Amino acid sequence: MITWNYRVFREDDGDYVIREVFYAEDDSIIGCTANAVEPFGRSIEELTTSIMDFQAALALPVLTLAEIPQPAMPPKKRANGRTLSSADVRTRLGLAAPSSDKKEKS
Amino acid sequence: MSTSPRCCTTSEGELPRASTMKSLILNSTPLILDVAIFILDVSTLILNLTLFILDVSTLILDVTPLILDLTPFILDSTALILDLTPLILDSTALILDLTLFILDVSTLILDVARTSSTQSQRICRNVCYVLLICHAERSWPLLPTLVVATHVYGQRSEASRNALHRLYQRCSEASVSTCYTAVCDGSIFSVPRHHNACVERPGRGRHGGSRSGKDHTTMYDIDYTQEALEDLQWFRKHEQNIIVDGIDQQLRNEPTSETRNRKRMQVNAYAEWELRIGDVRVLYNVDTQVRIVEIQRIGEKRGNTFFFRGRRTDI
Repeated sequence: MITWNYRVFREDDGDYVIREVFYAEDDSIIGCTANAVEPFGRSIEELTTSIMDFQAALALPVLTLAEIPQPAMPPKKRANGRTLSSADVRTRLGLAAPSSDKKEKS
Repeated sequence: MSTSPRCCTTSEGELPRASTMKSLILNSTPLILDVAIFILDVSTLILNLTLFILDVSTLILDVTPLILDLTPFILDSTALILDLTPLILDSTALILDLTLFILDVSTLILDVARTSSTQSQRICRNVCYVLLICHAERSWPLLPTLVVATHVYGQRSEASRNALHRLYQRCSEASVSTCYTAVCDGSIFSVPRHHNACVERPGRGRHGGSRSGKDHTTMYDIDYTQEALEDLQWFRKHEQNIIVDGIDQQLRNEPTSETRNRKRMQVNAYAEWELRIGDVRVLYNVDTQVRIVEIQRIGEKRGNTFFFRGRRTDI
């Protein structure tokens, strides 16, 4: 499974920002958010955790956008291979129907 | 897939909700089968007639030289028959095309009636849209063409698109051309804007906050790649529920609008967009033409250990 964390970036103009960076299973960087991200939370506790996660990024080496791998071609809008619908995924994982369905049935 | 209420209204009044329509379709399946069998019978009859006409044409062509030898009067008549022959042949070709077309429609109806897969449900939904479009356009003769076109496009293969193209070549009317374009650019999945007054989109109120722009008029279908499914399987069951629910809730409408939870990605090999669901990040692409969000990968927050240029480091 891919993973992500916050990382500090030094921008071309010399500013420092934080982006979310994504890693493949072999820990290589596969991408990052286009723009800087901001701490957020649905409660003070969540916001505190978020800020601590941001703070952890300060302990990691600073990146630049040049270090993010650039694909020769942008990603395809849709995969050529077989995909599964949301309903199929729910069935495969043994998950309940979406909440809107439950409301409808009740 | 969410089966949230999909209501469609016309200016003449409320149409049944999506679930009602689905049950209506299920209830009408035997009738559709009967109709399909009837159409097949008619097709066979037309085929027999066509073969008969072909035989007669061949006979006439054989007899013509003999008649030419007999009398000048017959010569004149033969000339007349010769003039008529191309017309008959054209008519025969037309009847053959119509027969093939009816067979296509019959196959579609049988397919839809026989199967109950998600794709069939999608086809049924699209057929419902087509019915609404035809109703609004007062263009019922276009219905079979649209149904078949939607069906073959729904299969999304190169062969299907080629079949659709061949179908289009057989139909030269401008209105069919318009419909073909609509199918190909995906707008068949959404009722054209001037129909908004009479068609309510699934899961949205009649005046459901629809702003201008294509993105705001239609809900998106959600598809998962195999990799995304494998990523999901790493999570615990209740987390899977939260993630799949979150995807359904946040990506069915306006998946390409940047919000606090939806961020555009720097160009990469996987996806253009990222969705935040708690500490989980969902990478996805959007095909606005056919209104499909494709979930590429699902990632969890990295622990306090990372690898930097091959060297393991603890934070």
